[in-house]
Order: sequence, then structure tokens, then C-alpha cells
Amino acid sequence: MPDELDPLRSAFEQVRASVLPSIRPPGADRVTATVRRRRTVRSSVAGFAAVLMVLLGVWVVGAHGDRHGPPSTEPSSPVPSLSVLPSVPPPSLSAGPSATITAGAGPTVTHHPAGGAGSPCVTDGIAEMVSMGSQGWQIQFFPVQDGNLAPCPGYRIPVYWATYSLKPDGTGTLYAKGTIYLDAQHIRRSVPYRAPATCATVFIGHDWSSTPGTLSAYVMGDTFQQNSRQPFWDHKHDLPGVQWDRFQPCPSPPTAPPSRPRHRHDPEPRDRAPGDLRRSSPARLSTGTHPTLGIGV
Amino acid sequence: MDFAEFYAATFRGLCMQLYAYTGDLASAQDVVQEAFCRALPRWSALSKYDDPAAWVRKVAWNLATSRWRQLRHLAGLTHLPDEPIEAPKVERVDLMNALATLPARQRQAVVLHYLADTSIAEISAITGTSEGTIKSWLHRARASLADQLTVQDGPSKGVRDA
Repeated sequence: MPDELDPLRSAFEQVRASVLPSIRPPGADRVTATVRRRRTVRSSVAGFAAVLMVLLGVWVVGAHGDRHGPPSTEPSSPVPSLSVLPSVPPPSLSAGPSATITAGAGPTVTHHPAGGAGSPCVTDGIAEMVSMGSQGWQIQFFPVQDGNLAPCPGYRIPVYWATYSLKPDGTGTLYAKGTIYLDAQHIRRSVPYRAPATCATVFIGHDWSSTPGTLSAYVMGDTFQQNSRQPFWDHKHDLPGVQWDRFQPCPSPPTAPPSRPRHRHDPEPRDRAPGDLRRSSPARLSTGTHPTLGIGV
Repeated sequence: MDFAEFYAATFRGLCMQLYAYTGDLASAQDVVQEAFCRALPRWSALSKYDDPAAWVRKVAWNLATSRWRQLRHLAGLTHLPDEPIEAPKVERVDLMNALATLPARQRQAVVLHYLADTSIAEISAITGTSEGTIKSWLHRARASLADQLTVQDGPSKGVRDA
């Protein structure tokens, strides 16, 4: 059909004539401005993202690559009020069973490039006392998830320790304390012997960064046995810690019931917290002077 | 031809075509302006084309289709109130209403043919459809438009495909 005979042609022409005057082009300048603004925004976003990535990288490196502070054994600081404590060296003691304390949340295994070609390592573990003796004791890093894995570079566990002197009324007084760190380069460390001579006990637990100056009633178990250990509960991490007995046997209370060495897996009441190791019968410890050694992790 | 000249020469025509396609003048201006914004960074290449306006029209057409789909999706989620607009002329309303009832591809062919003055062969190239199909679409579209305009306006103002 020829266009001149097409009635739709005229209809569209009428619409075109009525619509075109109402069309107001924003202008090519607006197009240029819009494109320029978009470029600016795009560049700003890209720059911000780049800065963010750099900051994130710095943060990651700082968080995982620079945790190696001075991990040396912190010199213990004797408590002045305990200067009257006997200074007789304790008899040599054989190593007892291991005591374990977790140092954080659930263990995590990662593959860290610094540990070799993607060698696996862990970012959490426990501190384990592996030996005791007259020269001190040794604490070793132990990954819970896999005993063969080393801590990842940059990850370290603070181990707080403290020694206490036990008094006849069953209370303990801080004797000395210190901090060591376990990490990839120092999976085992020795803690120098800094404790009263007799009737000492080693604690292992969590969150002892604020080591209490006194223990209201030191938990020694039913009997005070050399080289035995007694568990207690770490409320913060819901994990057991272990208290170590060592040195000379302390005099047992006259009314003490027959002793039963506590097993490492014996449950301990959960209402105790590190630094608040109360017993219901502190009178059992009322005889003699009991210097006490404690370690907190 | 620089970009400003190209813009001034083609904006209104493209806007008219998109208006006929979408039925919304403001939306048509928006998508055409956006198409020009996308053309400017490529202008060094587009300016060498035989018909740079075809590229802009294609982009605007796609934008209009995408926007229509988005609005249809939003309309299903919310009930947006109608915006008050100036009442258009009666014949414009009739034709636009009739165009809106056509299938999208027929409407596209009609708009290209009557408003962009595009030949059957060019429409075939633009839509990727054979010329015979384009002729068929145009024939059906004319018949449909004629029927609707006749029903709306009465026999005296009817438009029929002779």
C-alpha cells in the first residue's frame, strides 16, 4: 500500500506533531556531565576499595605476623610479705601426669604459608605441663585437634603462673608470679622454680592475668600428697584446669578422712573459679604452714 | 559530526519512537538520555558507523524493555499510585492505547516503520527477522490498529488498511 494511502501514516504524523514540541532534550552538556560524574564516582569507589584492601592486608599481616612479642620468661616477682617463708630447696620430684589448659576457643587448623608450603598449623591449643623438678617445670604447647601440629606463626599462648604460700588457716598468699608465652618458635618453655620450699602446689587454669593476691581457702584435696594433682574447673572456658601438689608433704588434718588420690578426670564442682578455690572445709588445712605454688594459664 | 550535533539531530526523533513504544514520554526521554550517556564514551567508535542513531535506538529500546520489566515486577509487589499527568490530545491517546495492545515485536515494527521511517529491509536487519515476517507483522498491526481506532472513535474517524 502506498504511504500516501496509508491512514496510519497520517495518524502517526499527527501524534508526532503533537508530541515533538513537548520533548525537551536535556542537552549534550548534561550527557557530558553525567558521564564525567560517573567516571569520578567509579574512580572514587575503585580508590576506596584499593585503600580498603591495603588496610585489610596490613591488618591481616599485623594480626598474624607480628604477634611475636618478647616471649621470654618474665622474671617472677616475690611478694615482700612472704620473706619469712622457708628457703630450703625442695626435694627433687619426678614429673607427674600432664595438666592441660586451653588457651582460647575451639582449636582451628589452618594452612599457613610461613610454616612451609602450606603446612598445616593450628591457631589454638592448650598449654600442658610436661615435667616438674627442683629446677622448675616445663610447659609445652599442645594442639587439641591434632597433637602433631605446631602453632601457626604469629599465634601464641600466654601462660600466667603464680606461687602461693599456704597458711595454717587454709588461705594462700601470693609468693611469686610471672608470664611466659608459647608460640611456633617456643613450643616448650621452662619456668624457673620460684616457690616456697615445702608443701607447694601448682595450679593450672585459665585467665589468671589478674592473679589474686590471696586464696581464701586453698584446695588441697582430701590429703596433701606429693606430686598428686587435683582438677578444678575453668568457668571462662568451661574446661578443666589442674592443680599440682609438690614438695614436702603437708601435715594432714587430724580429722582428715582416708585419702583417695584424685584422678585427672574426676569431676570438680563447677561453681569454682580460678582464684577462688574455696573448699567447704578449710579446717582440714589448719595444721602447719603450707607454701603453695600455683600456675595460671 | 561531533557528539553534540549528533545529539541535537537525533534526540527528538529517538524520543518520539521510544514514546510510541513505551507510551510514557518521560520514561522515553529518560531512556534516550541514558542511551546517549552510554554512547558518549564510545563516540570515537560510534561516529564511524553508518548509522550511529541505530546503536543509540537499540540501547534505548533495550533500556525501555528492561525498565518495563522492572516496573512490572515492582507493580506486582506494590501498588504504586498513578502520577497525575497532563491530559493528552484525544487522537494521541487513541493511537497510543491502540499501540499498547499490540505484541511487542509488532509494535516495534510499526514504530520503526512509521516513526523512524525505517524500510522493511532495515527493520528486518534491526530485529533479526526476515522481511516476509516483518511484512506480516506490519499487516497484522495495521489491521489491529484500524479495528481499535474504529471502535474507539467511530466509523467516521476509523483508520482501515485499504
